[in-house]
Amino acid sequence: MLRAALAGIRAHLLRFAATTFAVVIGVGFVAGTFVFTDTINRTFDELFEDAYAGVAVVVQPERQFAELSGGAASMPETVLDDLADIEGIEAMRGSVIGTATIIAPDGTAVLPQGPPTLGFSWDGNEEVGGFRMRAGESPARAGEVAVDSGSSSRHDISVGDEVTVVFPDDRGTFRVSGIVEFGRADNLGGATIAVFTLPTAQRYFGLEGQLNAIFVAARPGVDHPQLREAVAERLPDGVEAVLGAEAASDEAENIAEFFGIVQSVLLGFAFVAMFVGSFIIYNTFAIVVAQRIREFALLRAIGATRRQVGGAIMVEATAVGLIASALGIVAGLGLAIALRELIEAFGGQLPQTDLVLQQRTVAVAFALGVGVTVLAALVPAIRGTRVPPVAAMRVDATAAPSEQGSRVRLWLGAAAAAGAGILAWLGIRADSGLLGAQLVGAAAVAAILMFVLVGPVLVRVLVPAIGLLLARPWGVAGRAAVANAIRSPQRTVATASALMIGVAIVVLTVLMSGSIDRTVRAQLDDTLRADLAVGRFDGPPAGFSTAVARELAAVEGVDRVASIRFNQFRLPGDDSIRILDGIDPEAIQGLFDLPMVEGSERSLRPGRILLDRQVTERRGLAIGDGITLRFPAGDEVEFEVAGIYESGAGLENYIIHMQDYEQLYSEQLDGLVLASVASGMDVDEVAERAREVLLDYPVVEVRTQSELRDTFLEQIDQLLLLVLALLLLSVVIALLGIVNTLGLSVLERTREIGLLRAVGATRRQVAGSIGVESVLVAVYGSIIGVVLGLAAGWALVEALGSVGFVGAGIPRGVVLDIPAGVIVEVLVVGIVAGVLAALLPALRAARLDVLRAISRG
Amino acid sequence: MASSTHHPIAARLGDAVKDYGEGDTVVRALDHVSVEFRHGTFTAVMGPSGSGKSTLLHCIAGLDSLTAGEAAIGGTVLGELSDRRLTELRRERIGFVFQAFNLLPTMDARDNILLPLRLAGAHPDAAWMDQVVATLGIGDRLHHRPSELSGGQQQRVAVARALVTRPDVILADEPTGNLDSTSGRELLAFLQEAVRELDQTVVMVTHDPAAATFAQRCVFLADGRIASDLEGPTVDGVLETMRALGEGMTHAERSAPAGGGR
Repeated sequence: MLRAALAGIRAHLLRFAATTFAVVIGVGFVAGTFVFTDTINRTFDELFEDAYAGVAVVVQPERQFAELSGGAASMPETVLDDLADIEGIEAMRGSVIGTATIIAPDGTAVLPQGPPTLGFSWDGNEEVGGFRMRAGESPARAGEVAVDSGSSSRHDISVGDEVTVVFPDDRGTFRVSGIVEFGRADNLGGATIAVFTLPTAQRYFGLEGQLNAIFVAARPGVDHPQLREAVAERLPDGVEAVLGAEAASDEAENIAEFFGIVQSVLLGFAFVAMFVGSFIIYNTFAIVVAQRIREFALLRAIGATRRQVGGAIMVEATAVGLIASALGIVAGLGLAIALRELIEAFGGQLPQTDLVLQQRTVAVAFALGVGVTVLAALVPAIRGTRVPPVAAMRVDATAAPSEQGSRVRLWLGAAAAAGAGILAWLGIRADSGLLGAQLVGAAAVAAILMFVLVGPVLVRVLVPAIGLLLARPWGVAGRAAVANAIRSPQRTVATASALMIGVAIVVLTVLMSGSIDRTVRAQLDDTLRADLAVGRFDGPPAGFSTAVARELAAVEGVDRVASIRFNQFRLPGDDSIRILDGIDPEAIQGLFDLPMVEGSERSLRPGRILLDRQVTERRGLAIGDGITLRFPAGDEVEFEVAGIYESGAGLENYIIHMQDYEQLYSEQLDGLVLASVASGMDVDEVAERAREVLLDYPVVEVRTQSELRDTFLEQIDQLLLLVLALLLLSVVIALLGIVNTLGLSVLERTREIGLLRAVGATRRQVAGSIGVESVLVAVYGSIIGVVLGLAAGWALVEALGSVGFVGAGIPRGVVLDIPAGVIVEVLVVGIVAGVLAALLPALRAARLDVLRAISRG
Repeated sequence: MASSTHHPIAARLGDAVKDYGEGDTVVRALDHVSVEFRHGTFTAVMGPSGSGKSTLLHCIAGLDSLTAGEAAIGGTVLGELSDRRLTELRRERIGFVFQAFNLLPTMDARDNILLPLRLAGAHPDAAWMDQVVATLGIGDRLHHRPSELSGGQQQRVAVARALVTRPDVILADEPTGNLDSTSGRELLAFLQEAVRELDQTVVMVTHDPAAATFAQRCVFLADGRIASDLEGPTVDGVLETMRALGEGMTHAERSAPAGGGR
C-alpha cells in the first residue's frame, strides 16, 4: 500500500502544490521565528562572552533589574582602592556608562530606531571590557572620543573628524581618535557607542568620583569563583561581585529580551497561517479522495482492506507533511535572514553569525507540519475507507460524496452558535480586560466553527443571492457558475472558510485600531492642554536630556513648562516589568488635565501615588491605602494612594511625584516635555523659535498640540499597517486555496466542460463561468468574514469598553468605529481576488481539447 | 445514390483525409471520404472498430479538423472558420447526442435542453419546445435532475436538446450504447419520429445492426473508406454486408472488440 500511496502523490503532484505551500508558509513562520531568536540569542551570547573573555569578576552596585535607558546605579570610586591589594588580580578597570548621542560632522544625530545611544569609559586595554580598536587610537585625552564602527560607516565619521556628543545634562565637542568595535560586532546590538577616558566620561555623565562597574582580570591560574569571594568580602553594602561569565550571560539576556516581542508576534502569525492553511489541506485531500473513489473502490475490489485504503491516504498526507515541513524549514531560514535584514534596515545592526538551527526547531517544524497535515487529512481518509468496492463499476463514481449527516451538522452548528453567543455575553460582562478578550476570542473560534458547520446550508442560500447580483450579466455561464458553486457545498465552505478567517482578522484589526484611534483622539481632546510638546517621536519611547526642558523654558513666548518622566518598576512578588510616570503636579496644571475619578492630582505629594482606576479596582485599593513598589536598585517603597484617574493616551497606570522619582532612579531623563505659550503669542511662531533653540538637541522634536495628537495616532496606524501586511499573507494562502479547489474542480469536470463546449459554449463562456464561480466563493467568504470580524470587534469593544485592556493598548471607554470604507474595500478586493484566483483554472478549462474532454472517462 | 435527391444537402464531407500522428507512425483514419447527408434523412454509419466512423462524425461536427479535403454543414465549409465561429456553428446548426454523459448534472432537464439557446443568448421558441418535448414524451420530467432520470430518459433529454435549436443536422455517437434493448429501441423510434414528423436530419454512428435498421440509409466504413452504402437497411442486409466486409479485413481487425472507438 505504501507503493500505492506514493504513486498517488506522484500522479497528483500538482494537486498537492497548494497544500504544500500552505504548510510551508505556516512551518516557515514557526521555524523562521525560532531560528531568528535562537540566532539572536547565540549572537549576543557570543558577543558578550567575547567581550567578557578577560573579565573574571564584575563589581557593580546591586540591582534587581535595569532602568529604562540603561541608566546604571553607581558606587564610589574608592571601592577600587579597597580591592587593590587582593592577590590574584591582574588588572582592574573602573567604568562608567551613560547616554551619549553622537552628532555626525554633517550635523545629523546618529540615532538608531529603538536601541539606545550609549557612552562608555575605556582605558584602551582590549583584554578587559570588550572593546577593540578597528582604526586609530583609543581616547587618551579629555577632548577625544572613539565611536563604534557601525556609526562610523553609516554616518561617514572618520578618525580626526570633529563630532559633538550630547549627554543628558551636557554636551561637548570631541576629536575622533579611533573607531571601536564591541566584541566582534560593529556595535552593541544596534546601540551606538561613544568611548571616552574615564575622567571625561565621569565629568560629562555627572559621575565625578563614581563608578558604575569595575572589571577585574585574574592572574593566570587563579580560580575565578574564589577570586569573586575574595572581592566580595571587601565590598561595601549595596555593591556586589559577580562572575564575568554570569555578567556576560545577564547582559546577553537583557538585550535578547528586546527581541522577545518579535518572537510572540511572529508565532501569532504562524498560528493564523497554519489555521487557514489547514482548511486548504483538508479541502485538497477531500477533493482528491472524492476524485479517486473509483481507484479506492478498485483497490477494495481486488482485496485491500478499509484500513489499507485509509492507511494509503494517511501515508500520502504524511509524505506531503514531511516534504512541506522540510521546505518550511528552508523557508524559515530565509525568513530569519530577511528579518535580520529588516532589523538592519531599521538601524539595528546585528553581528553576522551563522544561522542557528536547533534540533528543537527541526522537531517542532516537523511535528507541526506533519501533525496539521495528517489531522486535516483524517476526515477525507475516513471517507475514503467508506467507499464500497462496487463503486468501481459505477459510471458516475466521481460524484462528490453525499451530504451525510447534514442534520447532525446543523445541530452541532446551532450548538456552536449558542456557545459563541454565551461566550461573547460572558466576555462582555467580564470585569477584567484580559478575561474579556480571552472569552471573546473563544467566542470567535466557536463562531468560526459554526460557520463551517452550517456553511453548507448557508452556501445554498447566500451564493444564489450573490449570484443574482454578480452572475446575472454572464447569462447561462453565470447560472452554471452558481450551480457549480453550490453543488458540493462542503467543498465551497472549506474553500471559503480560509478566506473568511483571513478577512475576519483583517476586519477585526482595522475595526479595533479605528476604535482605539477614535477613543484616543477623544481622550486627548479632554486631557491635552499644552500648546507645545517636546519629545522623541521617531521610535519607541525614550528619554532625553533634562536640559531640553530648561532651554525650552527660556524660549521667548513660552509660558510654563512641565516634564513627564517614565521608568520601570515591579510590584512585590511579581516579576513583570511595569512603567510609572513621574510628574510635578503643580507644574503640569493647565498643560495636561489628569482625568481624575477620585481625589485630585494636586494632592500628589512625595510619598503619595496616583493610580489608574483599573489598578485600584483589581487590587481593591481606595484613597488613603498603601501600595508598595519595587525599584531597580532593589528598594521597596510604600506609597499612599492620593487619587484615582482613568488612564488614557500619554499616561501610564502609576504616577508618582517628581521628587520621589529623582531619588529612586539614578538616571534622570525626560520622556515628554509639555509647554504652554504665553497668551497673545502665536503658537506656530513660538514653536519655530523653540525648534531653532533646540537644534542643539537633535534627538528631540517640537510638536504643536495637533501635531502631538497626530503623533499618537500615527503610532497606532504604523502598528496597524505592520499587522495588516502580515495578515495579508493569510489571505494570500486562502486565495491559493481557491486556485487549488477550482483547479481540482476543473479537472473533475473535464467531461462537463467538454460537453458544454460541444453544445456551443465559447472558450470565453467556459472561462467566464469558472471566473464567476471563483468570485462567488471569494465574495461569500469575504461577506462571512466581514460579518464575523465585525461581530468579534463589536463584542471586543463591548467587553473592553468599560474596563479597557491597557496591556494591549486598548484604552477604557473605547468606542466602536465601524470601518465602512474598509468593508467596501474588502468586498472589492474579494471580487478582484476571486478573478485572480480563477485565472489559471479558467485558462485551463478554456484550453481543454473538446474531443478529448468528452471522450474521457 | 441517396433516395431524397430533391432535398438540400445538410452535411457533407468532400475528399476528406484525416491522419493521426506523424512520420512513420501516421495512422490514416479517413482516406479520401466523400459523403453527403441530405436534409430530412436518417443515416446510420457503421463499421468495425477503428474504421473511422467516429472520426467522420467528429470532423463533420468541426470538433476535429481534416488533414485534407473539406467538411461542410449546409453551405458552410468548416475549415475556414475560427474557433469562435465553429463554436457558434455547433451551437446553432448541429445537435449532439453522445453515448453517455450528455447532461450537466447541476441543471434540470429543461435547463439542459435549453442550454445551447441560452449559450447563444437566444430565446426558445415555445411552440417548438412543446412539440419536441411532446414528441419525446418527457413533458413530466422537465424539472428533474439527470440523476433522477433513467438512462433512457437522459438520452431522450439529450435528443431534445439536440433538436431544440432546429439544427441542420443531429450527430449521434452510439446513442443507444449504454441503454438496455427496450430503451434503445424506444430512443431509435424517437429519432425516426424526429426525422419524419419534425423534418430533422440525423446521422448516427452505431455498431448495432438492429439499430441501423431504424435508419433509411446505412453507410459502411472500413479502413477509413466508404465500403458500402445501403438504402433501407434490414438486419439481414446489414449483417451480410458486414460479413462481406469482414472477409476483406485482416485478422487483427476482426478480433478487435466491436464498439465505440474514438
